[in-house]
Amino acid sequence: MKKRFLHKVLIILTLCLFALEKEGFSQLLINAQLRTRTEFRDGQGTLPLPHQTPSVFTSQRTRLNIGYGMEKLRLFTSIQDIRVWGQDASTISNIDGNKLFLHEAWGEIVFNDTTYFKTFKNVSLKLGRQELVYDDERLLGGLNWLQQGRRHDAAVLKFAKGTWTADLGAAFNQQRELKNTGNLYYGVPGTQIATDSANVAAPAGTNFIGTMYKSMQFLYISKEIGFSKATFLLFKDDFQKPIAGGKFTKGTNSRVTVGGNIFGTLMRKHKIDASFFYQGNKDKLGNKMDAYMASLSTMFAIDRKLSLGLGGDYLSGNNTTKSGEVNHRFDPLYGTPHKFWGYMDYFYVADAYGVQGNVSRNPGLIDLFLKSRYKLKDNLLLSLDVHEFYAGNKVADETAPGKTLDSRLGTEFDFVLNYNFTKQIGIEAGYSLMLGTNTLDRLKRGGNQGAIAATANVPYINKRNNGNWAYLMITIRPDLLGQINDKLASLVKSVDGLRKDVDTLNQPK
Amino acid sequence: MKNLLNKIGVTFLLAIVLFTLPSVTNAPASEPKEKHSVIKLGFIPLTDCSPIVMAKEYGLFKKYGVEVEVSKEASWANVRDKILTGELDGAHCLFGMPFSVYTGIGGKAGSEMKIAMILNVNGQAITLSKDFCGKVGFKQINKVSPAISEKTKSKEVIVAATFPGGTHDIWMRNWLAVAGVNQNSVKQITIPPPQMVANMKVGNMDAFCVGEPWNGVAVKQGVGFTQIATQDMWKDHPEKALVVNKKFSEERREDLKKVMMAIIEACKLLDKAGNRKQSASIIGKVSYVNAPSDVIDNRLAGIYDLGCDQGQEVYKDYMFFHKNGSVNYPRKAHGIWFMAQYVRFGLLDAAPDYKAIADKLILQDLYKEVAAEMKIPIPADDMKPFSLTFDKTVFDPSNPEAYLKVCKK
Repeated sequence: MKKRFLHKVLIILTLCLFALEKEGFSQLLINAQLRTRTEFRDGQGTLPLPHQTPSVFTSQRTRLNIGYGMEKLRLFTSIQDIRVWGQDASTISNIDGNKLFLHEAWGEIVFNDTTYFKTFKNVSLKLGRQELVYDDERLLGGLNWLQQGRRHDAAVLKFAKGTWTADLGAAFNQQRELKNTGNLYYGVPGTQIATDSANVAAPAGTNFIGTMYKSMQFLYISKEIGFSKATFLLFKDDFQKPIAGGKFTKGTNSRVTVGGNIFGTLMRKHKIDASFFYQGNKDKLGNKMDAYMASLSTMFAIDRKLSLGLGGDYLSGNNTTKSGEVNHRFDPLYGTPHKFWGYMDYFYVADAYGVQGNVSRNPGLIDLFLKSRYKLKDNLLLSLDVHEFYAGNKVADETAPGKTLDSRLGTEFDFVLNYNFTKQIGIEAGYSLMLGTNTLDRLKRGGNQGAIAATANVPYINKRNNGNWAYLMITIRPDLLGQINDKLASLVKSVDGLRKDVDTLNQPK
Repeated sequence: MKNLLNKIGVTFLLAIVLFTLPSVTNAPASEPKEKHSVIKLGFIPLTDCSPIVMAKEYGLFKKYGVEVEVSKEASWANVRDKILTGELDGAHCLFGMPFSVYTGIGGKAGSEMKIAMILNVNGQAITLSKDFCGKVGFKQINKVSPAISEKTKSKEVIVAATFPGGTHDIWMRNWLAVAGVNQNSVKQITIPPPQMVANMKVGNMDAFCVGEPWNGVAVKQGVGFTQIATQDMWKDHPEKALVVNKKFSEERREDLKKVMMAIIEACKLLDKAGNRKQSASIIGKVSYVNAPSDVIDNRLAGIYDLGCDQGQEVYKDYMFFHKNGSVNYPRKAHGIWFMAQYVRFGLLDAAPDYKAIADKLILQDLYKEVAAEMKIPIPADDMKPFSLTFDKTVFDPSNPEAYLKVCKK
């Protein structure tokens, strides 16, 4: 009898230990992501030239995420590897680039325990490499679409009280560990891989392309009002002052962006969002900045399956018929442009946009759009967006000095099918079509073609007036720890069962 | 010697087990305290346990000067027994349970469980198994009877609720009645809320009525779909209540008032949309509801993924916890309505003394004192005739017999 009892107790103890480990595991997060995207490109990002043939390739992102939380601390690391199938030089070569790197690695020190009601719901300091994701990711986002994603090396102090949140962030970038002196920051990378061939100099750019900021500071405040939210952002990024020859000198040019969003809800079912941001002080080259962006978008739930939305964005740009020292080109900072100005990424992404491909002679953008979402099944979502693009300012006709081109840029159709095969496997297929105009053709002449035409008076080669792009993306995201937790949860149930058995054995007969 | 070693071993191991088990199965164990001072409140893993859990998590019990332990319970029967024996001083409880127990349907007749206040309105639903996909749609009440009749040809249709005479039992019976399904043509069983989805998954039932998040979880797991939410049946119906032990309510009246104040403050916080996401992540933890926080959060916000390719319904009338006090006021009319339902559906053979029971079990005066101290208005609608949203038969709490003569059975 006693042996049997002891045996039971031993089993319970063993299971208890497992259960306690589960308590520990519940603070631990381990998941992974493997995402492949096969793309057919025949005019993605820019209109193709007549002689160009479409390309097909598969890129892959592999991520391993590990997080751990305890009473006053949270830690998170995301290691990712990005490569195109077949891209490696060979299995033993090391000249294929540094594709394995840390996407995120941060620690968060929690000063207030969030589970207790104190003056603040949360006060914490998040330090290290991290994504800065705010609101709809228009200006600060993780750029998840891009396999590389987007991240910042920064420190962010976070506050939350009631329905208010406030984040105060700062970053200071340095080229490397310096011996004793010097703070010049050249940025990384200085070049990027061109769409079709060799490395090219990165446009003096935007959105993290080309030279990165030397330092930045921001303040973000949000207030939830019922099911609506109002937010405010003040963002200052400081760029090392450039001098001739691609070099830099002491000091920075600071750009200041300020504005806010209202994410409104009408009758619980309909959404109306409005944004306005102003950009001033100086651009990275030291020119005076005076630019702004305004957006209004809606999404109405027509019924339980169909939603339709209309909207428009305006991003100010320069009058390209004039030369001026004031830069009116609004830069959408470090957001996720793919989400907003067409899935084909013609604007505010890698491919140059501006007269002769010069981003400083960028006329801005007007985007009028219609969005629709239809839930065909619980796990199948169909979306169709139509964008009508216009230049936001006058576009100079360089072949006829003093004249301007029509401001209409073209129409883009984006068709996407999202299918969740299982909770952990998602399949996304998309097809996009750009019906471009001559003006779009002119504004997308980046790199050598634009330069040759302008300097050597060589006639432009007209590009095709349409671009096509299709993709198939498969995302596998196993929750590695979740499965262990499920097993342990069933063990906890067994503990309860055995405890009852022991109780029964102990009862006097 | 061997026996002695065994005894030492057993004692040692038992000591470890006793110290480790509470932290595994329940909320964090408290330090040893004076028995009298600690108030023990039970809850069932359901979204509407939020007022009690969040009052604890927000530190509101401490703020009002009472020490409260919260205890996760396995079933409503468990809650009933522990309240009656005093093992629990009070609990998150079905509003109908005290009437069901007192009238002998769900317990020993004459056993008194006291209703101190209402914790929430709305937020329950009826889930049908995926076998009914395409045969009955969301709120298509006219298609329920034909679908059940069709199903009955191949097997007995089983419907589940959580406690005899409890709210879910009565919502299920009303649904069947309004749909025109004979109550006796289906088998009605009782299952604890957290076990509903697992039981439907293995085919033990065809329909269930339960609180969230379990209807949402059934949809997420592809086990069933939401046929109707209870707010579609009766907008702002009383659902869970703070039910307390009789002796506790009498001997520690002031402490009970403090408990109620803390819970009312939590209710106020929970009604703010901005606080619900945080609440969802807290109550979703293993030690509380143990369900995906996204499901809890969505249904708490009135966003219902319906399942079976029916899309998403967004409610303006969803689970509320305070509404300037109109939620928390315990109405005797509602107690009388529940007892009339027992007569209507044959759970009671004869009409009970409706008013006397409601007076005995509902601590309306106590609530009024608390509300006055907290400057919360008292609604003036108690004992006035009302009707349900999906059944327009008027119920006059002063004359239940008239209602019973005309209502569908």
